[in-house]
Amino acid sequence: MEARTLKDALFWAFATSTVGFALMVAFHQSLVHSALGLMGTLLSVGCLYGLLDADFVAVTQVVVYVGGVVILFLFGVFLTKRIEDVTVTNRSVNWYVAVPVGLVLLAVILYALLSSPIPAAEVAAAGPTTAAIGEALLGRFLLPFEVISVVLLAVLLGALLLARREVKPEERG
Amino acid sequence: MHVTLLHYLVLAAVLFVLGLVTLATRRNAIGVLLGIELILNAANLNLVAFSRHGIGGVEGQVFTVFVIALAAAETVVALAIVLAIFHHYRTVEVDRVSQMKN
Amino acid sequence: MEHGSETTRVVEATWLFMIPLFPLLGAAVNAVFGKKLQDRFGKGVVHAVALGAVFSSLAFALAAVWQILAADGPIVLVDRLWTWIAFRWHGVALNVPFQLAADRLTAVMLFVVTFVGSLIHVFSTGYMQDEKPYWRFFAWLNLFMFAMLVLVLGDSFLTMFVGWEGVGLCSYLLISYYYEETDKAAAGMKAFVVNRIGDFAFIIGMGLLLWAVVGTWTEAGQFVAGGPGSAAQPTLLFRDLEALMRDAAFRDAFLAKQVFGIPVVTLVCVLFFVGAAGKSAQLPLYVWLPDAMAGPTPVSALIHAATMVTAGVYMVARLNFLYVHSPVAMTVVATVGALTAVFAATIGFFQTDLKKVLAYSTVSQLGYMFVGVGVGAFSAGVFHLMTHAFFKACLFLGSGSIIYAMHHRQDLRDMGGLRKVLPATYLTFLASTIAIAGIPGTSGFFSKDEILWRAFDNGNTLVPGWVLWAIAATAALFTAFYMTRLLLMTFFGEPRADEHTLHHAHEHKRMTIPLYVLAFLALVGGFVGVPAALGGSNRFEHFLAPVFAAGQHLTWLSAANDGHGSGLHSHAGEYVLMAFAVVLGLAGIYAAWRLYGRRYMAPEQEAATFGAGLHRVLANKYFVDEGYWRFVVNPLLATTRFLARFDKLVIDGVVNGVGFVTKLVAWINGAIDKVFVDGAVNGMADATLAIGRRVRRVETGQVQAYVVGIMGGLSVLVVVFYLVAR
Repeated sequence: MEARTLKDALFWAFATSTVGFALMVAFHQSLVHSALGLMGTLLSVGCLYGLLDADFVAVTQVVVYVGGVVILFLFGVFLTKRIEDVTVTNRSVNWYVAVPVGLVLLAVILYALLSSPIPAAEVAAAGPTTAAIGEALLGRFLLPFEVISVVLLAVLLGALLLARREVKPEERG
Repeated sequence: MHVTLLHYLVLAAVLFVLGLVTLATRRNAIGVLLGIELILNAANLNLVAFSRHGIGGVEGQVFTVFVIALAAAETVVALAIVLAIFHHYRTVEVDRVSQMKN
Repeated sequence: MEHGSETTRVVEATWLFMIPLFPLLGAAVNAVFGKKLQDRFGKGVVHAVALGAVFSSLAFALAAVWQILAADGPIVLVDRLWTWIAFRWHGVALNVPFQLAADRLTAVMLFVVTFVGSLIHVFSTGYMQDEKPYWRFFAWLNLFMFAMLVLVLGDSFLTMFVGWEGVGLCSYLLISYYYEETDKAAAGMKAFVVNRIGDFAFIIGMGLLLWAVVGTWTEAGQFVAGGPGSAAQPTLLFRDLEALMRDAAFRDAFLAKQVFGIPVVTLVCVLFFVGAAGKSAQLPLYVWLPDAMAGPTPVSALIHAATMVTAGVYMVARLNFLYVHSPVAMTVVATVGALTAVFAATIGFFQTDLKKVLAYSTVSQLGYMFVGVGVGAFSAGVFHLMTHAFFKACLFLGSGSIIYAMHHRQDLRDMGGLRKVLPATYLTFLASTIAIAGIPGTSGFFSKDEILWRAFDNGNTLVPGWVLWAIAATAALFTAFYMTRLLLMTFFGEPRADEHTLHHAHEHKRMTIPLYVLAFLALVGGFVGVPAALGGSNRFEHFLAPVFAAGQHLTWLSAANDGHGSGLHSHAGEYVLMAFAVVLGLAGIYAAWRLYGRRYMAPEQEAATFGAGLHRVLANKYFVDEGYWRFVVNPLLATTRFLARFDKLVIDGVVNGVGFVTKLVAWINGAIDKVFVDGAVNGMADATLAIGRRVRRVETGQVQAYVVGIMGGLSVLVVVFYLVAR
């Protein structure tokens, strides 16, 4: 099989799984399943990044998103589950408006996409981009990079502050 | 028909709309956050796809990395708030937490 | 005239940014560390920071003023900070630098803002000393100074707009300083919302001007880039626009441009004036200013009397190169100004709140300034702006001193006989009162007289000059009357306050010094602009002439600009008008003295003396606020509620079924009831309100419904765009 055909097949496979998992996120009754669906979506998107020769982004996606964020979500789900609740509620509201409106929006976007001049030609792969990203991060984007470091630190502290439980005097021991 | 940039853009559009629908319909605050993640991923997918197809250079991917970092930060803070709300109200359903109203 | 031919030199001044920088730093320090500083080191540190900031700013401002004064010929100091907007689209490049500039007009404003501002800061250290969030007050006050300085120094519409919005924000913050009290927080909100109407017009005017510079409109209203009278590149810099307007070919083509049959320049000028009317409290947008008196008194003095509210006058003066080309816009400005002057003055008659009287007086005096700039006498308007800043700041600070001594009571009914208790306040208040009444020799006399004479003598407005003059002169009479009434009720007669208050009443030294300085200026400040008719040379007008050179070659403006050169006839006329104005002022004072001099009149007695109907209407401010509530705010709220209800019906209607519909009917009934037959049946209205209140609690604030709304609205917009606008 020609390499390009193989890539196309992989794209269709990952695209299908992305959409499938995303549907699960959007519509599954159980919140835990929704979170797991998000994990699937993120993994599939990570694979698509791989297909797009964005190796660094793909790895970041898997490590940070799938490894970090989704786990965080699952913790969040379990921590906010009331003991007496058997299933975590995942009721939805407004769906009979939101879904049609979403479909209209999708139609609009698709129409815009299809009527725009988007180059269809294949561009030769630039090869692995990790080195280029590294140079960009420590070169042109050094300031944003450092700012993000500070932001992450602030977030760390902020999250601690927000989420810590007030220690009541009698609990202190 | 080979896969082109357009395919990725369409896929991202679908992902985006699904994210929006999730955002709009979930009653649970964590569900709302899941929707936001989907939307961010749709944007990221666009960025990487453009970058791969020669529109903009490596910047698209750099940007994606930034977005992932910020999404992680946003999730952490949002979940911390959700936890705080849960401690306070014993619920995380967004339409029930309405003390700031009026 | 020789000024017109002088060209203004551009002088680089890279230190100009220091003037607004210091107050910004002061605000930042007090906003971030203020509470800590105050808790640990006391209030002295807080105001040391704030005063240090304004005095540094004052020093640099004085340096700038000095350089402008000392220069050989008119100069403009320019400080280009950074490129703010660099935008290129279809060959059109918009470049807006963040640039500060100071010409002679700015110099006047710089002096007024930093000088009066510094004095008021000093005053505040005394007046506010018992407030707990002392740091917050000074942080906002410094921030205000920063915004105001950016406003006057800004060299482009956008930079000015930054200051314009900044002062609005600070005004809001400071009016709501006592935000624990609902009515004070509401007053701040009212100021903000009413200002927003004006700001909206400002933005539209700015956008329209931007487009008008680079293109033109067809008869059908379609915009076409290029064409005669179009610059290659758009610009928002004042000086660039002025230079364009100086080019005769460009100007003639530009003035011919129309949108939907209205000349663009008129539309732009009127829109800008709506913006100015919002900020400077002119009809019909003046309603926020009296309520703004809810803020601490130094704030009223600084923001709502001396500086921020004059921003509108400053803007019209700054845009004189546009206004002179639109007689319609000039007429609108002058007429609205004159009507506001007399309207607000009448409301001042029977107010019983010390600060409310001063607030309406401010509205009225601002009207005067607009008469000045509206009849083409820009320098006269700015002159009155300056003298008004002195005497009105002094009056407000004086009222602050009274309120401080009276333990935060400001009702005239509780005062009287304070002359002996507060001698310094009395003296300075008296000085400012005779200044605002226009007694010869005081600053108010010169500036007010200049405006009155110019209004009479002008052939620029579509309304005859004597009409404007008559309205403004009536306002002068009224002003003298209500100010004298205020003075008499406060300082003369028998004390009406209780023994305890009087015993403890005292003046604070840090409060009296600014009072003396301002009172001195209120008395003698007018001598910089003694008119030619009185043997002076009107140095103030000569000083500002280069800034207002744009219209001098226009024949229809010549009467106003060439007045003092046009011979004996004009002088004789000026003497007559001057004498008449003085007589009016004295008449007002005499009338008030006759009525209030010997005895105190309670509101009931006033009603009996002047007629109950008149008193009722004036004391209730013509019921304007009630009218706004009834015809603007309530219908809007009702519509909002109706729409929210409708929204919910579409979304949830099917599910909630019959009970829901029943409620809806009841509610719509109620809404109609409320809007159309308000008060017809009180019981029914109460029931409706109760239902409405309960229903409303269910309806609002669902963020996710908003998301859906945004999605849907966006889709509809895009579809419409594709279908229609293609």
